Amino acid sequence: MAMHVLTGVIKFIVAFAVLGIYALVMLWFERKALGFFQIRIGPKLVSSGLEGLLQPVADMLKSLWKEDIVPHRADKLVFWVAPVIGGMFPFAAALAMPFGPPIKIGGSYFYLSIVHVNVGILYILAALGLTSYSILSAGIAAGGNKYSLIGAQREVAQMVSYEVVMALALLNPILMARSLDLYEIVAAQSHHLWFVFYQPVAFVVFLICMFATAAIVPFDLPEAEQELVAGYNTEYSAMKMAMFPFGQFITVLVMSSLMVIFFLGGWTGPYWDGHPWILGFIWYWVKVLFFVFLFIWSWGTFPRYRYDQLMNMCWKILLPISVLNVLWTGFALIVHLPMI
Amino acid sequence: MTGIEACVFAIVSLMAIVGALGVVFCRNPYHSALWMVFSFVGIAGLFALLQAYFLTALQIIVYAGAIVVMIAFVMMTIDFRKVRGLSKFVPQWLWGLIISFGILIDLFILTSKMKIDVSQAGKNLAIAGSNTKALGMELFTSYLFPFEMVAVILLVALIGVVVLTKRGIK
Repeated sequence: MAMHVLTGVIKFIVAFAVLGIYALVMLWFERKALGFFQIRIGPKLVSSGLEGLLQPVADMLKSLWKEDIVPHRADKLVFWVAPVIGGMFPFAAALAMPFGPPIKIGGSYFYLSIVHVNVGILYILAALGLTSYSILSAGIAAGGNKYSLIGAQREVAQMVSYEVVMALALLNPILMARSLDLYEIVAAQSHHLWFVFYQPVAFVVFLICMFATAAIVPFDLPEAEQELVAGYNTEYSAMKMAMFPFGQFITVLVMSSLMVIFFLGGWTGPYWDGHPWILGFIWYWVKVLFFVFLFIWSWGTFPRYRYDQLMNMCWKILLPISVLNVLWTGFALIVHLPMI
Repeated sequence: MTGIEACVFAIVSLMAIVGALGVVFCRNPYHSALWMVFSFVGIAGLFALLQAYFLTALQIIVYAGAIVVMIAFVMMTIDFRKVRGLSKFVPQWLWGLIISFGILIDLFILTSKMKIDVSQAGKNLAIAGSNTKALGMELFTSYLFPFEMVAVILLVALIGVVVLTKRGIK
């Protein structure tokens, strides 16, 4: 019992450090990659020998010392709670994310995720669902700022549209693996092809929902800079404002890892049959980081959707397709089509 | 129930009760909605203590993640100053008080009569490690007809809303 608590605490501290460093590196990489896509250099003055790698550290120190402005008419308590929710719940979701393949010690497995429950995917979806309260609260608490309110309203409209479709897309791999456990879903793919080859439609649908969940560029409606100044975080400054991108980067990581686990076989890959643990680890992170890069790629490439276009697409195109896909998967599993 | 479990039970049940009181006593409707989420998280914690992890996740996804979000969405169209000017109680508050007080007394009598063995908590729910499967089997074999009836009733409500709101629009 004490051993369990101790390993839990150590895992928690390590995960906290890893995710914090990841967010900082991501802040740098995002700006550098966007600079590359837009044919400019990006940050370079802070630590010029390292391509501006220490820029996020400087940014963080700056946010710490900036004046923390709270609007006079703001709802003080909710205004303070919103960024806390925005940083905390994506982090809570990341706790159930596998950081690598399970390590076999003796007869039992050692899992690299802090929270290992048999309904792991539902836990992650629940935590990500609660994240939207940060944007909602930020918009409502901003004391009647119209930009904030419109940003928050768009977030709700966006969220109720994509969440249904995303759950239906994830249902196909769940049906095929017959489990809600992330590790068992990967194990189900280790015997044959990855689920992306059986479920190409669900893969594409989930890819679209992935961008909508993280509110990254084709669907960054809540903070559309050109229309809404900064959307829901218009009134925020200093450390409170820094919490929102932190949560967003963690969401990007969690969604990438979900994508890899559900459709691309997690840590399975060529030349890996379970025993060189480190190779599985490398496969997993190569795939996850590719999707993290894909987020930034789309950030620098696509124009933004209007939010009525997003809702049209989700409810009128993706939802019927997903329902048909689930029906087809169920039918194929019942009659034992040669897909599993 | 061990010491740690009792401690966690005290925390999550306090969350559920404090959240419910917050819903009732807050004058700002958005604060009420946030308290409601808080209360739902507490109830989800109670499910987790019973080892019903599937219900825990569903409690948060469906109630906190979807229903309260819709309530909060409606709040964006409310004039908060008008809400502040409303009187504290509805005219028929006396009847509500009597009924809820009766239910409270009822619950007290029930809990004092029934011997609830807390050391058995969650044992019959965690069937062979996964109650998701057991729940699905029960719903689609023993309770298939009520289950489908609920689905039809929800569909009727859905169509009813569309019909009522689109009546004037051609």
